[in-house]
Amino acid sequence: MRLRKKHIALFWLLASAGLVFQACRKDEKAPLKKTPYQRTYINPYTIFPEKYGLPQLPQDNPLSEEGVYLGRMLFYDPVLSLDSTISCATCHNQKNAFADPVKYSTGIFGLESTRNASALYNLAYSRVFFWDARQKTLREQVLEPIQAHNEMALTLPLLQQRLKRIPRYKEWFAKAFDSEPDIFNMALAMEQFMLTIVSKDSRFTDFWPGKFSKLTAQEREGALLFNGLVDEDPVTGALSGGADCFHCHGSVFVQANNPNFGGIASNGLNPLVTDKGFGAISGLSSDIGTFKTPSLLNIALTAPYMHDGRFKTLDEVIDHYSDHIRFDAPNLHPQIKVHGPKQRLLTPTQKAALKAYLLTMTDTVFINNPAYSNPFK
Amino acid sequence: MLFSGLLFLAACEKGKTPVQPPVTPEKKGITLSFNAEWNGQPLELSKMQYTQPNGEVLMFRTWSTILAKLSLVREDNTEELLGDGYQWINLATGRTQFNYATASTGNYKGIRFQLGPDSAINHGDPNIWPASHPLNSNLTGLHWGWAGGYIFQAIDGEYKDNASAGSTSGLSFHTATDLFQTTYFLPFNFSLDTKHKTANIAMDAAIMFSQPNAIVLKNKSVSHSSGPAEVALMQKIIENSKGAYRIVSVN
Repeated sequence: MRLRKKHIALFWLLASAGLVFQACRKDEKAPLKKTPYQRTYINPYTIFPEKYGLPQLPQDNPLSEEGVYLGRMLFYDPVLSLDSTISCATCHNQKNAFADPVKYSTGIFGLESTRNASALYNLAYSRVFFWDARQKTLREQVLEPIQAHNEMALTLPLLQQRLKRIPRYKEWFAKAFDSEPDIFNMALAMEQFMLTIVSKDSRFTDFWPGKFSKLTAQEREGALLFNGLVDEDPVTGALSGGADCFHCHGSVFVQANNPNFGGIASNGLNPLVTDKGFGAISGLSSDIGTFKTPSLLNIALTAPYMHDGRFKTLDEVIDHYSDHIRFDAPNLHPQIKVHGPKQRLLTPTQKAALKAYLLTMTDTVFINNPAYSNPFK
Repeated sequence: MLFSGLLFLAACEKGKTPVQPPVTPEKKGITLSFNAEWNGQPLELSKMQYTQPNGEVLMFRTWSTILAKLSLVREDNTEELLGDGYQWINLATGRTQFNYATASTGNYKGIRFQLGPDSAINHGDPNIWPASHPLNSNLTGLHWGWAGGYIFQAIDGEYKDNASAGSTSGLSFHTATDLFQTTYFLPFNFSLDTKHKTANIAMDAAIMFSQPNAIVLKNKSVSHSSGPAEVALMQKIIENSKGAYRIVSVN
């Protein structure tokens, strides 16, 4: 009996040792992994111009030719919507600087969005997305319109199933991420594509910040208004000088990209707020009625204007800032508020000059760049 | 069985470097902590609750400052530059604490910095700086592109004439131009050894707006540091600010 027990113990010891041996050799015996696809990574300096400087790109999502192309396909593919009729590009048209030339975009089943579609360019330099600044990364941003009931109305599990069934996505997810199609990598691919959308070839970008000789006399007057401070006559109190647009639309991006310094602001549209904007996100009363400040590059292409698309033309926008600021609007940006309650009251000539300056910001190279166009055509 | 299990585990660990408990490196150096205050009490943005001696009530939305030549000052008046000397304080995002792990040990008599960069950099290309650098204009927004150079300090907000007033007006003080490059020395004797220390630096807005020069906002509540009236007003703010920044403690 005792001998038998010893035999049993010896058996277990040898068996365990064998198991240990096998376990430790497991890696050696495993078949060699398939060599991953050799992606072509993109040097950011080939995308972003020296004049802009390099943006802070997400370190966990390096730009690759394959990732960008996959993202571009997804951006233009209506398979991302429930009834496969609407793609991102339906409401973000390259000819309109990836904005939508209507007040509110139409989603599936004819449902309307609740805010004007934003233009898309130079997003690599932005730190918040959507009019209400509710997302901080593009990979999170892209998932919202896909799922919104009045936009593309598709659930992410269903979308993933669809992508897995489409051969081109099986191929390109493997190339871009060594993976089967999945939502996580889909978002990363779309992030990559949108990060590469750069507008850098307008006349404005060429002469900014100070090559006056490249401007017509009227454009130069507009530039001085745009970039000039508002002066106040100490005797009459009348406002003159510049129109002080640059505080919130400064820099080569014609946009304040610091959310805390003009990047999210109220511009005096309403005394009574019906859309809380960023205030609904932050939960702070001091943010109610504030929205992300858009870039004015390509502004002539992105009508209608404001978060609610209320202004149909640039003339209406200029009229607002010149003549119709609501100084009783809650949380009005301090840079506007300091001049209240006086309106700036630009002359018709000044308004025309300001508009001429804004028109120098149109980038026709960008809106015709084949790198951003529909890859299915 | 137990023995076999132990053998199994031990065998698979063989050849690996034994896992060591994390070792906390011996810290030295200094953290600078800038704290906005109103009369010595913490200042909160977007709260209309700060009363001037003249009864005006203030609320701040922005307090954003670019420092240059940020240095510890030794007893012999030589300086230990912290990093590359540039820093960006941004109250709205709580960017107020800056850690310098490699500051040299020794005895110091204070901290010195300049408000805004030197003239050549002030009027140079703001996009040459890396995306996370305090002088990157896209990061801070503190740059007037149209040949204006950097905004060294932006303090924006609102005020009302008195506590019972219903309406508010804007206030905006943007310190800029080479004229206002200002050096600050904050005296405080301290020593750095192998223990990491924190210097708590107060930025007192109450002093900024009242001592020694009373800033009466209803007379003028905006200065962009340009034009005679705005320059004169900014000069008062800058003079006040020399008392507004002070080291409270180093420990």
